[in-house]
Amino acid sequence: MDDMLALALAYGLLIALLLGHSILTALRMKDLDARLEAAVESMESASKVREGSDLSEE
Amino acid sequence: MSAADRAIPWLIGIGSLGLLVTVYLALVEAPAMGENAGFTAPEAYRILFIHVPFAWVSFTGFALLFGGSLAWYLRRSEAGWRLGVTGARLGLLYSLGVLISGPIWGAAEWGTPWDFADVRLNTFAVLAGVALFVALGERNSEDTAEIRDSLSAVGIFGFGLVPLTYMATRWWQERHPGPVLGGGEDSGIDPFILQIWLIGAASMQILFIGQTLMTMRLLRMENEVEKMLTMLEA
Repeated sequence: MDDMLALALAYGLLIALLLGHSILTALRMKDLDARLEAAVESMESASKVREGSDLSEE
Repeated sequence: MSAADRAIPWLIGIGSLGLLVTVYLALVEAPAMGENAGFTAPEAYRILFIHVPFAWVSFTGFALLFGGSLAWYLRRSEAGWRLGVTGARLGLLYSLGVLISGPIWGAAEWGTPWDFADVRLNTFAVLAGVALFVALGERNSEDTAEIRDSLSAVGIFGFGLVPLTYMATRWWQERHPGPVLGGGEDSGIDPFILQIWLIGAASMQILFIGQTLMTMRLLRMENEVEKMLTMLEA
């Protein structure tokens, strides 16, 4: 393989590898944040519904 | 947010900055190595400035995989399990860096990207395979104690390859360059080159710590979401 081509290819791929990993991790973190928020909202609305039905039973 | 979580962007930022400095030193400041220095590819040798730190840091990943797997296996530690998975994921990331840059340098310097007779190359590839197996196994299998036990066993026994890989160039040196640190009378390295390696390794290690904390946080959050969804379903 050509000397300079090898150098450019290796550095390009390694930078892409680290950047790609960071981007993927950030996207997963964002997705999890959204899922966590949705789960918390669902739990809150479920507990409100439960409280409402408890009151109507009384 | 804990102190460790707050440190994540700082560690990743400082590590990345250090890596940029390493790339600058490697590509601009380090001298070209001609045939008199024993290199046939005088520019491609600069790949080693980043290849070597990638390799050193990948061993930290394998060590986390080993320690975490052991903590899960012996104590059923949740944090230990998360640490092991983190070690597998990051060990895989950094060993991929080694397996990408090494063969490219080999193709330029040796005329061939791989040598199946070289023990160092092959044991390292198997180590990367161990990390790949654990990382994919954890991601694609049901999360049960039995699966965790099996993956932890692979992580624990796979770690045996680390000392073998480290010693391989001392015991059976074929094509991979021999040790430059602590390798006896014939070893040694130019102080400037060593300096760039150490800056690269320190920067990458800082980045690795940031990534470790971030991956552990990610796994913790995944666990919390799973628990909440189970509660909602119940």
